[in-house]
This record gives sequence, C-alpha cells and structure tokens, in this order.
Amino acid sequence: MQKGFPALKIAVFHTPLLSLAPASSFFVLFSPVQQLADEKTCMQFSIRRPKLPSSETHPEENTYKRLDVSAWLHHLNESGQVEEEYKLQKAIFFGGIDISIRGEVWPFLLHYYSYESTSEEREALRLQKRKEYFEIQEKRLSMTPDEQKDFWCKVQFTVDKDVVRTDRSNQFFRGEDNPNVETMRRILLNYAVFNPTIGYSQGMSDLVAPLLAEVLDESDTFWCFVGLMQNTIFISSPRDEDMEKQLMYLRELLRLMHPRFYQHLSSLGEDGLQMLFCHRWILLCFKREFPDAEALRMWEACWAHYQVRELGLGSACTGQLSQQALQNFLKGS
Amino acid sequence: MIRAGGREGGSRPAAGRAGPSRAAMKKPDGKVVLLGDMNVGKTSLLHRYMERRFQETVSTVGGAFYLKQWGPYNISIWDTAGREQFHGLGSMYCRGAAAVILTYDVNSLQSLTELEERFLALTDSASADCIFAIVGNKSVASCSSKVRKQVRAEDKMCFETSAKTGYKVDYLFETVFEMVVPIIVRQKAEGPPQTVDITDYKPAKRTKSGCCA
Repeated sequence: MQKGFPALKIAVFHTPLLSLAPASSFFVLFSPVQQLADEKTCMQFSIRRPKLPSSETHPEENTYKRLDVSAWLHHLNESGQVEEEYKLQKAIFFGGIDISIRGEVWPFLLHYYSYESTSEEREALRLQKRKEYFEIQEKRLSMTPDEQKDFWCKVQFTVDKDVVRTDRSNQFFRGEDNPNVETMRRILLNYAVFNPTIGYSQGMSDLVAPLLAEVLDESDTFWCFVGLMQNTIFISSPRDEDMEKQLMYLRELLRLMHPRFYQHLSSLGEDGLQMLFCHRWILLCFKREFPDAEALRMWEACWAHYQVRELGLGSACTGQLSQQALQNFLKGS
Repeated sequence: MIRAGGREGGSRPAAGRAGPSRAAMKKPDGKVVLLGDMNVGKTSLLHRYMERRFQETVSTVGGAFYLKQWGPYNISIWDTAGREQFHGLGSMYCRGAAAVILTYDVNSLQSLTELEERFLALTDSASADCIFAIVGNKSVASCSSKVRKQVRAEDKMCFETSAKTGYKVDYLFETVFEMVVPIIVRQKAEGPPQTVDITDYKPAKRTKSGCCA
C-alpha cells in the first residue's frame, strides 16, 4: 500500500527540534558556496561545521559508533530476528551503518524484511520474491506490440537515456557496457510495469543506483526500491499533488521556525515562496546536494525512522537551514 | 511549423564578457531559457558555453541557471529538465523570459516534433516580445541531416550546434544575447512588474444564486 508522505504534525514542534541532532549529516550547517577557482560558476552545498560543540547537539550524539558487523550481530537473536528494533533504529540514526553491512541492513530499513523475521523466513521470502520479480519481468517481455510501443514512449525511452548517465563516477557503474547498468535498467523498467501509476520519472535512477551498488542482487534491490518508493520518510513523487504538498509543508515549517527567512522569500515576489529551489532536494533526498557518503548517511538516518516518524523532509530541511546558513542566504541575495 | 525569429538586435555591447564570479551574486536583468526533450544536450550546450568544455552530464532535475554578464547586464540562462513532471516548475521555466532556445537533437526527428507538441505551450508565459531560437544540437557539421530539412534553413534564428566540439555554440548564445538586450532595456524602462499583495486580498463574497438573490 502506498503510504506516501506521512502526515505532518506541526504540533510536534514544541519539542526543540533543532536539538534533535543526529550524527554528522542532519545538523550540518551548509550554505551554498563557490567551489574552487576553475569551477566558479558551480554552486554546491558544502558542510561548514562538520563538528558541533556538544552544547548544540543531542545529548546522545557521539555515544553510538557506526554499526559494524559485530554490533549488528548483537542486535540479532539465535534465529536471526532483530531483538529490539527501537534500539537498532536508534543506533543507526546516531551512528550510521558500516559500508560492509549496508547491503544486509538496508533491506530491513526499506521494509523488505520485517524485523521479526528469522533468517530462515528471510531466505524463503527472497526465493518467493525472486519468483515474483521474474514474473513481473516476464509480463514486461510479453507485451503486445501496441503495449510495447506505448511502454517505449512513456518509460523505456527515458530509462534508456538515463541509466547510462547515472552515477557513472561510482566504480560500480563505471566503464562501457558495464553489466550493472543493464541491471539497473531492468529494475527500473520492471518497476514501471509493477507500478504503472508511478511508472518512471527522471531522478528515479538516482535513487535506485545506490541501492543496487550496496544490495547487489537484482531482485532484492528491486524490492528494496519498492519499499523506498512506498515507505520512506522523505521521498516524493514528482506528481503535482505530492510535490505541492511537500513544498507546502516546507513553507509552513519555515514560517514557524524561520520567520525572517520566510519574510525574505515573500519579499522576493511571486517566485520566492514557491521554493522551487528545494524541488531537487526533495525529489532526490539531497543526493545531488551532498557528496555520496554524506547523502547516504542521511538516507540511513531517515530510513531508521527514529523519533521522526511523523516528521519528514521538512524537518530535515529546516533543521539544516541553520541560522548561519540563513545569514548567508540573506546576504547573498 | 515552429517559427524562429524576433526583431532586429541592437548593437553589440561594448563591455563584452566578464567573469562569472562578478556576476554570481547579482540579480539577473533578463532571462534566457533552454527548452527541449531529454538528452538533446541542453546542459551540455550551456556547459560548453559557460565552462568552455564538454563533459558527460547527468539528467537535469528541476532547474538551474547560470548568470552571464553581457555588457552592463546580467543575463540568467536557465537549464531545464526535458521531462519535467512537476507543473510548478514547468510554468516557472519561461515566466518573463526574454528569449527561449528550443533545442532538439539533429539525429532525432522525434525531438524536433516534441518542441512543437510539448514545449511551445510552455512559452506562453514568456515576455510578449520574447525571442525564439531553434537549435539542432549534436550536429556533425559536414553531414546533412534529414531533420535539418524540416527546419527552415534560411531563418536566421535557426542554428546547428555541437556542444561536443563547440561548433557554433558561442555564436548561438551571443546572437541571442544581442537580441535580448533591447528587451531588457524595455523591461527596465517599464519598471518592475506589478505585483499583487495577496495578504490584502479579500475574496468577493459569494453571492447566493437562485431564488434568494
């Protein structure tokens, strides 16, 4: 079932949200700065204060190490069930996941595996889901010529052009005729068959690529991607109603939390408060705004759903739009 | 048939180009927009012109602009997403634009047809005297493409470019800029566009219809 963006409860904000600072990425202070001299025209976010004084962080910040293999195994009982999911979520939220076990843990965060499942049940699920996945693929490959033509226009044309220009600097997708690019392509095409309402829109390749690079298995990645599109805390489809809603949340949060910046935006005329400059942040969960390592760390923290069950992108954004960044914004404009 | 064209441009601005760093934080005086189907090379064209090189690009999501100083003016050049699905962005792309560069891929007739079918409608919100340029990118100068015949070659606002080699890229942008300057001058003379203060807005009382009226 499509949950979409969780309903935002503005009332939650009586808790000092800004002190809810998860490790590194959430509370970084960023501002658009100009890159090195030869790329003067390229505006990118950079992290201004990677380390914060303890007075500005959550009291439990730095009490969690990155979740590594041994810590991960600690969370599992003999039959492979996650004992206390809340503790695991908290550990991931504050500490992140070691790259070596991302592929193993992400499927839980993305609702492919349930926390209660045993290792045996997960193996059975994988087999079952693999069968389902190939049935979806079969459906795609056995379209009538008319359906095929329609699918090509609506989906395949775009997917084909996008996969070859997605994350090519990542070792996993590098080089000519890289089979991983073809796998990504199949996953996206099959997804469009699985969920024709969403189909494919530009940007989705950016979301699936990191999943494939960590989860590796085609069918598993597909189902993780399905979970990502349905359940995660900040994800938005590019459809008007979804995007409008997200931007509206963001606007309301700004109005409450940063009235000065809100006023500044409204003084800019009709474009300011539309906040279209946030469109890509929302659509791609900051993937293009931060270096990969930082972006994925943020994704994990969000997927962990720790203390942010009711909050979405808005809190992430406004949390990040620190006073200092706002100062820069105001000065810059 | 898509028609390119616009009125005669003014004389070339004396000051020429200045570095982008000087223009970076200034407000744009005029807006030029690149439109066209995905993967026709909009980002590459802009990148070639501004950064003087060609490199692999990623699909554009949302919109982004470069500021270019042209004489005394700052011109914002907007790069757009070929398959934008969010209406809010689509309608913003051309709002108030002084020039629209409609881009297609010379190897794809479809990308030319798309200009008329999908992108021309987006230009309704552009400035009334907006300049249109039609650009076939990915041109291999020595070959004649089939698509070329579809575009009226004699029209001086039709271009063939190659972002990869740089072929006629400067010529395209600079021709457009020259024609845009008079529009900027006129827009400036007319002052800022009238804005409506929506906080003052009081909805008209709904009049009851029918027998009670």
